[in-house]
Amino acid sequence: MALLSQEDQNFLRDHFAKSLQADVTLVFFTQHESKLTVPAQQCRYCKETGELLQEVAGLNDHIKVESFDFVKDADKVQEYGVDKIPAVVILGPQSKGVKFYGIPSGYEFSTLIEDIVEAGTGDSHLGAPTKEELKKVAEDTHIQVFVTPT
Amino acid sequence: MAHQMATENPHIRADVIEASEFPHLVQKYRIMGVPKTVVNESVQFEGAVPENRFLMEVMKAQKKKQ
Repeated sequence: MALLSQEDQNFLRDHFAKSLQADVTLVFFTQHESKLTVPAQQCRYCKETGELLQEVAGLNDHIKVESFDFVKDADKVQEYGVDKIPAVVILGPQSKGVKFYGIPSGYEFSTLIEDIVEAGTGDSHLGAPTKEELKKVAEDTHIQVFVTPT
Repeated sequence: MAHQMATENPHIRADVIEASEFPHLVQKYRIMGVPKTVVNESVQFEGAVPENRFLMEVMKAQKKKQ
Protein backbone atom coordinates (compact mmCIF):
# COMPACT_ATOMS: atom_id res chain seq x y z
CA MET A 1 0.00 0.00 0.00
CA ALA A 2 1.22 3.44 -0.84
CA LEU A 3 2.26 5.68 2.04
CA LEU A 4 1.09 8.79 0.22
CA SER A 5 -2.60 9.23 -0.49
CA GLN A 6 -3.77 9.77 -4.06
CA GLU A 7 -4.66 13.34 -3.18
CA ASP A 8 -1.17 14.07 -1.80
CA GLN A 9 0.44 12.43 -4.82
CA ASN A 10 -1.55 14.63 -7.18
CA PHE A 11 -0.73 17.75 -5.22
CA LEU A 12 3.00 16.97 -5.09
CA ARG A 13 3.19 15.97 -8.75
CA ASP A 14 1.73 19.34 -9.65
CA HIS A 15 3.94 21.21 -7.15
CA PHE A 16 7.15 19.56 -8.43
CA ALA A 17 6.17 20.05 -12.07
CA LYS A 18 5.79 23.79 -11.47
CA SER A 19 8.96 24.32 -9.47
CA LEU A 20 11.71 21.79 -10.24
CA GLN A 21 14.16 22.79 -12.95
CA ALA A 22 17.25 20.77 -12.02
CA ASP A 23 17.88 17.20 -10.98
CA VAL A 24 17.77 16.41 -7.28
CA THR A 25 19.23 13.21 -5.88
CA LEU A 26 18.06 11.75 -2.61
CA VAL A 27 21.05 9.80 -1.32
CA PHE A 28 19.63 7.28 1.08
CA PHE A 29 21.63 5.34 3.64
CA THR A 30 19.94 2.28 5.00
CA GLN A 31 20.45 -1.19 6.34
CA HIS A 32 19.75 -4.08 4.04
CA GLU A 33 17.46 -6.59 5.53
CA SER A 34 18.86 -9.88 6.59
CA LYS A 35 17.19 -12.90 8.08
CA LEU A 36 19.26 -12.52 11.17
CA THR A 37 18.56 -9.34 13.10
CA VAL A 38 20.13 -8.10 16.25
CA PRO A 39 17.52 -5.97 18.05
CA ALA A 40 20.01 -3.33 19.18
CA GLN A 41 21.24 -2.86 15.62
CA GLN A 42 17.86 -2.85 14.02
CA CYS A 43 17.09 0.33 12.08
CA ARG A 44 13.50 1.07 13.04
CA TYR A 45 12.31 3.20 10.16
CA CYS A 46 14.75 2.41 7.36
CA LYS A 47 12.26 0.38 5.35
CA GLU A 48 9.49 2.99 5.58
CA THR A 49 11.89 5.84 4.80
CA GLY A 50 13.06 3.99 1.68
CA GLU A 51 9.49 3.40 0.54
CA LEU A 52 8.57 7.02 1.12
CA LEU A 53 11.55 8.28 -0.92
CA GLN A 54 10.70 5.94 -3.78
CA GLU A 55 7.15 7.22 -3.83
CA VAL A 56 8.28 10.85 -3.83
CA ALA A 57 10.83 10.15 -6.59
CA GLY A 58 8.11 8.50 -8.66
CA LEU A 59 6.27 11.81 -8.86
CA ASN A 60 8.82 13.73 -10.94
CA ASP A 61 11.56 12.72 -13.38
CA HIS A 62 13.99 15.22 -11.83
CA ILE A 63 14.03 13.30 -8.54
CA LYS A 64 16.30 10.27 -8.22
CA VAL A 65 17.03 7.98 -5.29
CA GLU A 66 20.41 6.35 -4.70
CA SER A 67 20.54 3.81 -1.91
CA PHE A 68 23.59 2.70 0.00
CA ASP A 69 24.21 0.33 2.83
CA PHE A 70 25.48 1.96 6.01
CA VAL A 71 27.83 -0.95 6.68
CA LYS A 72 28.87 -2.17 3.24
CA ASP A 73 29.25 1.18 1.48
CA ALA A 74 31.73 2.68 3.92
CA ASP A 75 33.29 4.91 1.25
CA LYS A 76 29.95 6.60 0.56
CA VAL A 77 29.22 6.89 4.27
CA GLN A 78 32.48 8.79 4.62
CA GLU A 79 31.99 10.86 1.48
CA TYR A 80 28.66 12.19 2.73
CA GLY A 81 29.64 12.30 6.40
CA VAL A 82 26.76 10.13 7.54
CA ASP A 83 26.93 8.86 11.13
CA LYS A 84 23.54 7.22 11.76
CA ILE A 85 20.62 5.73 9.81
CA PRO A 86 18.18 6.15 8.23
CA ALA A 87 19.87 9.13 6.57
CA VAL A 88 18.81 11.09 3.51
CA VAL A 89 21.16 13.57 1.84
CA ILE A 90 19.36 16.01 -0.45
CA LEU A 91 21.70 16.71 -3.31
CA GLY A 92 21.07 19.47 -5.81
CA PRO A 93 23.35 21.33 -8.22
CA GLN A 94 24.44 23.64 -5.37
CA SER A 95 23.34 21.96 -2.20
CA LYS A 96 25.34 19.23 -0.54
CA GLY A 97 24.95 19.96 3.15
CA VAL A 98 21.30 19.12 3.69
CA LYS A 99 20.52 15.92 5.60
CA PHE A 100 17.68 14.17 7.31
CA TYR A 101 18.24 11.57 10.02
CA GLY A 102 15.20 9.45 10.82
CA ILE A 103 12.00 9.15 8.87
CA PRO A 104 10.75 12.48 7.44
CA SER A 105 7.14 12.02 8.50
CA GLY A 106 4.45 14.35 9.79
CA TYR A 107 5.47 17.99 9.68
CA GLU A 108 8.96 17.00 8.59
CA PHE A 109 7.57 15.54 5.40
CA SER A 110 6.77 19.06 4.24
CA THR A 111 10.33 20.05 5.16
CA LEU A 112 11.58 17.26 2.88
CA ILE A 113 9.40 18.53 0.04
CA GLU A 114 10.63 22.12 0.55
CA ASP A 115 14.22 20.86 0.65
CA ILE A 116 13.77 19.06 -2.67
CA VAL A 117 12.31 22.17 -4.28
CA GLU A 118 15.08 24.38 -2.85
CA ALA A 119 17.76 21.95 -4.03
CA GLY A 120 16.16 21.85 -7.47
CA THR A 121 15.98 25.62 -7.81
CA GLY A 122 19.01 26.71 -5.76
CA ASP A 123 16.88 29.34 -4.04
CA SER A 124 16.58 29.13 -0.26
CA HIS A 125 13.84 31.81 -0.06
CA LEU A 126 15.62 33.44 2.87
CA GLY A 127 15.53 37.21 3.16
CA ALA A 128 18.20 39.23 1.34
CA PRO A 129 19.87 40.48 4.58
CA THR A 130 20.15 36.89 5.84
CA LYS A 131 21.71 35.72 2.57
CA GLU A 132 24.21 38.61 2.75
CA GLU A 133 25.17 37.82 6.35
CA LEU A 134 25.55 34.12 5.62
CA LYS A 135 28.20 34.89 3.02
CA LYS A 136 30.46 35.80 5.96
CA VAL A 137 30.46 32.21 7.20
CA ALA A 138 33.89 31.05 6.11
CA GLU A 139 34.42 28.12 8.45
CA ASP A 140 32.72 24.78 8.54
CA THR A 141 29.55 25.10 10.55
CA HIS A 142 27.39 22.23 11.65
CA ILE A 143 23.76 22.90 12.53
CA GLN A 144 21.70 20.13 14.10
CA VAL A 145 17.98 20.58 14.57
CA PHE A 146 16.16 18.03 16.70
CA VAL A 147 12.51 17.43 15.96
CA THR A 148 9.78 14.91 16.72
CA PRO A 149 7.01 13.67 14.43
CA THR A 150 3.74 15.53 14.90
CA MET B 1 15.50 27.07 8.18
CA ALA B 2 18.81 25.34 8.92
CA HIS B 3 18.45 23.53 5.61
CA GLN B 4 17.82 26.82 3.83
CA MET B 5 21.02 28.23 5.31
CA ALA B 6 22.98 25.20 4.13
CA THR B 7 21.68 25.87 0.64
CA GLU B 8 23.16 29.39 0.80
CA ASN B 9 26.67 28.55 1.95
CA PRO B 10 28.66 25.37 1.24
CA HIS B 11 30.47 25.75 4.58
CA ILE B 12 27.21 25.09 6.37
CA ARG B 13 25.99 21.55 6.99
CA ALA B 14 22.51 21.19 8.38
CA ASP B 15 20.95 18.04 9.79
CA VAL B 16 17.33 17.61 10.76
CA ILE B 17 17.23 14.76 13.27
CA GLU B 18 14.23 12.76 14.38
CA ALA B 19 14.87 12.83 18.12
CA SER B 20 12.78 9.79 19.02
CA GLU B 21 14.86 7.53 16.78
CA PHE B 22 18.19 8.60 18.27
CA PRO B 23 17.79 8.58 22.07
CA HIS B 24 21.55 8.70 22.65
CA LEU B 25 21.65 12.20 21.11
CA VAL B 26 18.69 13.31 23.20
CA GLN B 27 20.79 12.41 26.24
CA LYS B 28 23.98 13.91 24.88
CA TYR B 29 22.43 17.32 24.23
CA ARG B 30 19.97 17.13 27.17
CA ILE B 31 16.97 17.71 24.94
CA MET B 32 13.85 18.56 26.93
CA GLY B 33 11.76 20.02 24.13
CA VAL B 34 11.74 20.34 20.39
CA PRO B 35 12.69 21.90 18.11
CA LYS B 36 16.13 22.16 19.64
CA THR B 37 19.04 23.47 17.62
CA VAL B 38 22.73 22.85 18.25
CA VAL B 39 25.33 24.81 16.28
CA ASN B 40 28.90 23.49 16.30
CA GLU B 41 28.40 21.93 19.74
CA SER B 42 28.89 25.43 21.21
CA VAL B 43 25.58 27.24 20.73
CA GLN B 44 22.20 25.76 21.65
CA PHE B 45 18.69 27.12 21.62
CA GLU B 46 15.17 25.80 21.93
CA GLY B 47 12.01 26.58 20.04
CA ALA B 48 11.08 27.70 16.57
CA VAL B 49 12.71 31.12 16.21
CA PRO B 50 12.40 33.82 13.55
CA GLU B 51 14.94 34.00 10.76
CA ASN B 52 16.99 36.87 12.23
CA ARG B 53 17.33 35.17 15.62
CA PHE B 54 18.37 31.89 13.96
CA LEU B 55 20.95 33.79 11.94
CA MET B 56 22.24 35.52 15.08
CA GLU B 57 22.79 32.17 16.80
CA VAL B 58 24.65 30.79 13.78
CA MET B 59 26.88 33.86 13.69
CA LYS B 60 27.45 33.59 17.45
CA ALA B 61 28.91 30.12 16.86
CA GLN B 62 31.33 31.66 14.35
CA LYS B 63 32.68 34.11 16.92
CA LYS B 64 33.18 31.37 19.50
CA LYS B 65 35.39 29.48 17.10
CA GLN B 66 37.80 32.31 16.47
